[in-house]
Amino acid sequence: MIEIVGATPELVDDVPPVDLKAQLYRYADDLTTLLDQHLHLEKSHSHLIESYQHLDASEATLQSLMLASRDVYLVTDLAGVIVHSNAVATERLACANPDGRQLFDLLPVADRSRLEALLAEGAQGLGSETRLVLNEVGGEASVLHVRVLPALRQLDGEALLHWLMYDESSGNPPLTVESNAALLAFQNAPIGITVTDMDGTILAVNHAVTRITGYTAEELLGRTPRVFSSGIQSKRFYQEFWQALKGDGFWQGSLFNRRKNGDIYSQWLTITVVREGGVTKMVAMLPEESPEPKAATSLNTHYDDLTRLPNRILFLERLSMAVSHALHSGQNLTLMYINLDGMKAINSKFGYKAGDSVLQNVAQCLREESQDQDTVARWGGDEFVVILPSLAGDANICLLARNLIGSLEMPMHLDGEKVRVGCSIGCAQLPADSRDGEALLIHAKAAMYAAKLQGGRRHALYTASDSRMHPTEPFESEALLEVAIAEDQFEVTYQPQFDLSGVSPYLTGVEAQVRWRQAEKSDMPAPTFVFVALRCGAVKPIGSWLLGIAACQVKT
Amino acid sequence: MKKLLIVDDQVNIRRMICLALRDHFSTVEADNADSAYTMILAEPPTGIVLDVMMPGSMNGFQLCQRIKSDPALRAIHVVLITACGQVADQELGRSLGADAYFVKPFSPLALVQHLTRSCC
Repeated sequence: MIEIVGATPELVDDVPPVDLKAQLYRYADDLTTLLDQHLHLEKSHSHLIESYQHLDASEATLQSLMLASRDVYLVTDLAGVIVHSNAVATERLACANPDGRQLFDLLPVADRSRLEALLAEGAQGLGSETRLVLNEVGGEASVLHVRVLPALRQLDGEALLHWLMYDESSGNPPLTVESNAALLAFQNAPIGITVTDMDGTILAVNHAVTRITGYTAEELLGRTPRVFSSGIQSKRFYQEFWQALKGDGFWQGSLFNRRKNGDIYSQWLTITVVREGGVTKMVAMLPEESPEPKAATSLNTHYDDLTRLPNRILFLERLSMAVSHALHSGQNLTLMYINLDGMKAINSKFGYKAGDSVLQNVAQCLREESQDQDTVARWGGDEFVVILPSLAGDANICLLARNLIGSLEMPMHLDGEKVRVGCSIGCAQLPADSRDGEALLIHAKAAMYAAKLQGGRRHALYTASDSRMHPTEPFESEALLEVAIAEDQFEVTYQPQFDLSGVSPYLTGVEAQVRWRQAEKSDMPAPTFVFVALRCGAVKPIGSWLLGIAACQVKT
Repeated sequence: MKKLLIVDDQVNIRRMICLALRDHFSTVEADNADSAYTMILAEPPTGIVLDVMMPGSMNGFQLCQRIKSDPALRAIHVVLITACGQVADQELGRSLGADAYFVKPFSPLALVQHLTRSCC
């Protein structure tokens, strides 16, 4: 038996029909979707609020800067009605509350149409500036520099005009907008610009300078352009350079600078002396590439292509200048003649390219060891010459020469092999050895030969005896030597050798000596002869020739 | 605010629809097609949300046909709502001139979006 208890019609009615229940779930679905959307919106809303606070802060900073400016700063709408103004504006316009007033009514300009033109340009979205003459009541006429900049109000996008004004007579240029623009232009100019004081201390450099030289701005500020010095320019070059800057306030030309990585490059340079409010500065412009092809040509005629050192021509010019300067001022001068040992072996073992890089390394090393006033030049082949003004005293010269030999002997790497370059150095001094440049050169060369004959890798000071064994021209001698072998110009003499240790002298043998009889000259001294033979690889042919002759003569 | 007429025999469904629409429309209610027709004649609304299956002498289809065949009422936007989501019913609704056809259970969000786009 089934009883239905408490099942009232109302209760049955309260159970929702199937479609209503389904509809309720559908509502719940939508509600979930809406809640998700709501959370998402709230999140982006909070970001928005946050960024808006930043905006507020930056606007406040800008406003306070503008308000504190010593120039008149105004904001107007496109009709010229003042929206905002700073304290200076209040003072200058002689109006306690200029906001809401028409700018034209407050600014007593002589030529109102120009102010209207400025407003019209600003309304078209163009920044513009002009000078206006002010006719102030009871005051003198003054010139006002007026600049207008169009802008948008951030919140409602309404177009506004910013006005900056300053008295030209006060000599107070606006510091705000213009200097920012100038700074941007300075930093990003496609030409290197450095600003230095008259002592040469670097006050500012732009991005292009760091690109050209490889130094960062931090590395350059406070230092002098001497960090760029390649050591190639002579002392006289710099004397003329400074003379031009101090006299004309201008210098333009080409010089050789050194990058941070050691590269030497040709730099076209324009320097202007700028005087500004009693302070004098130098502004140097460095184009990234030399616009003057002439500069490159003059490099080729005066500088060695491979090593970038002055060549023989420039060296001789410098030498004669240095000699006359030394004679005139009563100072000393030392000339060093450097010949590398064993370059032939390096060239034949590693090839000429490797030989060239050895020469470049040597040049670099000599440059580093020398001082500003010295001239290092490539005489030709594997020979270098150095002019050392005011270097004097045998001890000092020997010390320097030993240093040079030591630093050139630092091993270099060629094809993975360590190579050491030795050198022989001959030194001649003015006025002790000669008072003539050419003679000094010949003496230094003679001393170099002497050092070479003692085995190389050493230096020698010139002594009068060196000149005797100095061949007039080694190359000429090499040619003559070949002729000599071909034409039998050698003469063999014999010297008996006795053993004197016993009771009576005892003949042990004869020593064969070879002499070179040149038709029009006296005998070449043996050491020079040996040196020339060594140099042109003629020792072997002479040796076999000598053996042949001796063998023949033994028979007869 | 534009006026919408909500016609459904279930009071809870009517309330839910009204709840969803109240921010955008003023709503009036009817629980059968006959009284709805009387109200339409007295004061035509901008749109009508119309259940198909209802007791009385007329169902939703018939009311829809009456509205759409009367040149004076034709402009009223008619949204048919029904549990029978069959293709034949939708075809019928369209042929009678209904402007939209929602199947129960329908998304109130979708209904609000449709009506605000079509009637506001």
